[in-house]
Amino acid sequence: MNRIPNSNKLGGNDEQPKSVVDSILSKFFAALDENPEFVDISSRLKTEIIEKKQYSETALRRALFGETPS
Amino acid sequence: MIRVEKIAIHEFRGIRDLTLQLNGKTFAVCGPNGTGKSGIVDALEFALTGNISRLSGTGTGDISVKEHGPHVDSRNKPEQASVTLTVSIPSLGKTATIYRNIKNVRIPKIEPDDPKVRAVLDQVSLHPEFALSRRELIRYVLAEPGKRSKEVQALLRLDELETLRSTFQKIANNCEKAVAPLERAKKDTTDRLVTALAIPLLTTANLLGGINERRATLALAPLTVLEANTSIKDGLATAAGTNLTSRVPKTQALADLKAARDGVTSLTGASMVAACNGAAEMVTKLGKDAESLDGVSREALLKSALALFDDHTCPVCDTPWEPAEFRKIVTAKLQHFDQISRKRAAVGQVVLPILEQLEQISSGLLLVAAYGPLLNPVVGVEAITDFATTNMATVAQLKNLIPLIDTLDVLEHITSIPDAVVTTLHALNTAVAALPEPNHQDAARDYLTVGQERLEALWRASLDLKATEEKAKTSRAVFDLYGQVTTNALDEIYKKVEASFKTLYRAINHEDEANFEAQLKPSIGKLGFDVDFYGRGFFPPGAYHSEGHQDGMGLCLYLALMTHLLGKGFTFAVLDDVLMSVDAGHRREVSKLLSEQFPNTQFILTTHDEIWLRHMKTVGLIESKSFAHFRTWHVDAGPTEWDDRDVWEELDGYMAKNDVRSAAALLRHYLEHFSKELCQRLRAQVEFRGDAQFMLGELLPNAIGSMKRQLKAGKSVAQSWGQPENIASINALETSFGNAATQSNVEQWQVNAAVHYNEWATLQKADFKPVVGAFKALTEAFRCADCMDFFYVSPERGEKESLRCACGIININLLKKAGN
Repeated sequence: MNRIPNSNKLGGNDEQPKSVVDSILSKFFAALDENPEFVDISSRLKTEIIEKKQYSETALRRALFGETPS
Repeated sequence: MIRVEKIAIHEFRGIRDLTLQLNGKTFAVCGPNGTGKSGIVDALEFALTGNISRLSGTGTGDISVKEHGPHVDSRNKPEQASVTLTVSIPSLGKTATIYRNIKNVRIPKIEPDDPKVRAVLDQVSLHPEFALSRRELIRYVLAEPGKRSKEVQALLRLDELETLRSTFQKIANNCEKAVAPLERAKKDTTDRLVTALAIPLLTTANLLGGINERRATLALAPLTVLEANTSIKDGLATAAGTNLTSRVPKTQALADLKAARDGVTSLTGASMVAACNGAAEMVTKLGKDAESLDGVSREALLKSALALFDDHTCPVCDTPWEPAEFRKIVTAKLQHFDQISRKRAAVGQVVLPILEQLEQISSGLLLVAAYGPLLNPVVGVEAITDFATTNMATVAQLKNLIPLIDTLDVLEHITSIPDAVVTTLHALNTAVAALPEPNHQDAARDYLTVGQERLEALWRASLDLKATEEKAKTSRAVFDLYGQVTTNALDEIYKKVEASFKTLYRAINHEDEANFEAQLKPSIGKLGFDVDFYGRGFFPPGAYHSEGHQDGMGLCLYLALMTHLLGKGFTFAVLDDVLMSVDAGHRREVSKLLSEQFPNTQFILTTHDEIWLRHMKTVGLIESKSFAHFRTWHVDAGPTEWDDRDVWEELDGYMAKNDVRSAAALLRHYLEHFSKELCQRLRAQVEFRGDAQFMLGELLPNAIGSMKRQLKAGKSVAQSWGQPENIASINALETSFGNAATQSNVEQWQVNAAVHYNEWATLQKADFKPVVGAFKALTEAFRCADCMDFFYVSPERGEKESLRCACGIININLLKKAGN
């Protein structure tokens, strides 16, 4: 039988899961932060996407271009 | 995540009142079809999410949780249909209860009402995939790549990523689209400036040359540079002259009028006629294709719906939607119109030069129309303002394309110029030409004033264009980076899922597919899934593998995905009769897999197959008491379990009602179940039957015989070890067991197995009562008086080492001393 090493046992214990989406978005923000031109955009996008969970076009435009809400 | 400690179900689905103690451990629910197993799965899902999947979604028609969640006799009392779940939350070290009833589906009562507890339960409610049925399992395996991608993305909660991707893309596209009109606007303002300043080309040298010539006329200092804040009129306010706002600058007006007339004339030119005819031909072709026509309309509707969606309700029917879900559905529908979109884009390319020219002409007409009221006498300009408005409406129609018939109509009329437009332009030109020639100073003043206005317009147009170009560049760069990061991350995830899947599948099928390989191949909107078939190549799972193997693949893919979705939070899953097609040997391996590879996950498994239940017990997936074995279901009572106390109480009830027939049937049915369990536990030798349909007479006498042989062997072993006290206690057990067996007269059944219990139904109550008593005593004789567990031989295979009970009070050694 192909055994999975004990250290890699599947299934859960008592830690809270980090969602697949959150981990991918973290990588995206890290990539944005690597470009000095995008640091401000990254910060605003984190606010809209991670904190406010806002994915609308208005919210993302606000984050991308620093547009103030009308 | 959570573990389920207890579930209490009341008036819910097919269940009247049922409590199961799970104690946070893997738990099995076994029973024939229609005995209420799925009701437990529904109850778990309902308590945790407020939904019952099998009563909602595609294919459920008029069925709903609200209407059909309560027991059929309580459908008008939804407040009584409830589930109470006690769960432990390992991450918080807390226990919580969730109470939810059908009347208030969305408002569970949670105790303790602690934000951290709520957060964990909210997280669970976002993952209804903790419950997996066979129907869902197969769709991961046999679905088309496009559908599989959607299923897997839904399971991994990737829809949010897709929503973000499409929104970033939309912003980038819109910004890029906005550049072209601004480029045209800049060109228009450039042309007007060049016209007004009468220079051949817009260069700094040409501008400064023309400007400084007029400034010299007005004795103003020459300009050396032209910057955004330079005023070419600098010092003009102090120079003598008349106010331009009250009169027409003759030279510039005549130039503007010439440009306007040229523009209007160009509408009837050969190139415009040819462009309009070509566009009309393409639009006609698009309109002849009924599907395209329908598609164009639908596409337009869907695009409008996306644009108008306010993150709350559908703009068409006002149905409330989760934003991500709404966009996902509409975007998926829009993808069907790819072909239509391409045709439409081709038409758009053909009409683009037409609408650009119309915009330019309209803008020129509105410019010269402003001169009409300034002339004396005033020249009426309604004809040209109307014509400009008509042209702008034409531009809007050419941009929309829908309805196509209206597009055809405007294309037909673009080259028709109303006579009044020509007449008005002529009248304006005549009136302007008749104005007295300005003196040198006034002409210079007009030049600088109009030039300043148009220069400012050019600055504004340039700034707008530059800002929009910057936005387009930024949004495209962010979109590209997002696409690159998510694609790489998803590739990485699918590689890991693929590796986990292969390991799990090999574990179940190690005997003949130890080198099994699989490939998960993500591409845009698709997830290919090919599996190795005994080294002969890679094929879709349904191509050559059996249904049983496909079921196994589905389970392994699900487990691999859940592990990557929840990581160490994968503490709980419900597997609802998922391995219907898997044979007994592989079920044992599945049980071992779940037990050994997922030691920290509580599985709740339902099955109609007693053999699988037995595998779960023997490999240690479930503990001895961690299961519910349903025997029957009745609409009035719900499911009934194979619980001894219930059986004997139920038998007493039948006897009290003098219903010997029902009592006889129940006794026989129970004894069949009981005997199978005993034969398994005592390793009794039973004549093999391929269909596993054993008669009571084939089981119970052999169970009794096996028990007697173990006791006899135990005495012999005790003798070999010189343990007289053990011999005495085994003797006592042997005597009481022998008496119980004699009373039941079972051993005689081997002579004619069917006769006795067929006769029971015809007995009188007084005659049958001793039979019930004898069998109750017999079943008691098979178990420990302290722990009430039935005796069993240990181990399950190989040399017999002991006859024992769960608590160990009875533990009869079966291994003789060496040399005896």
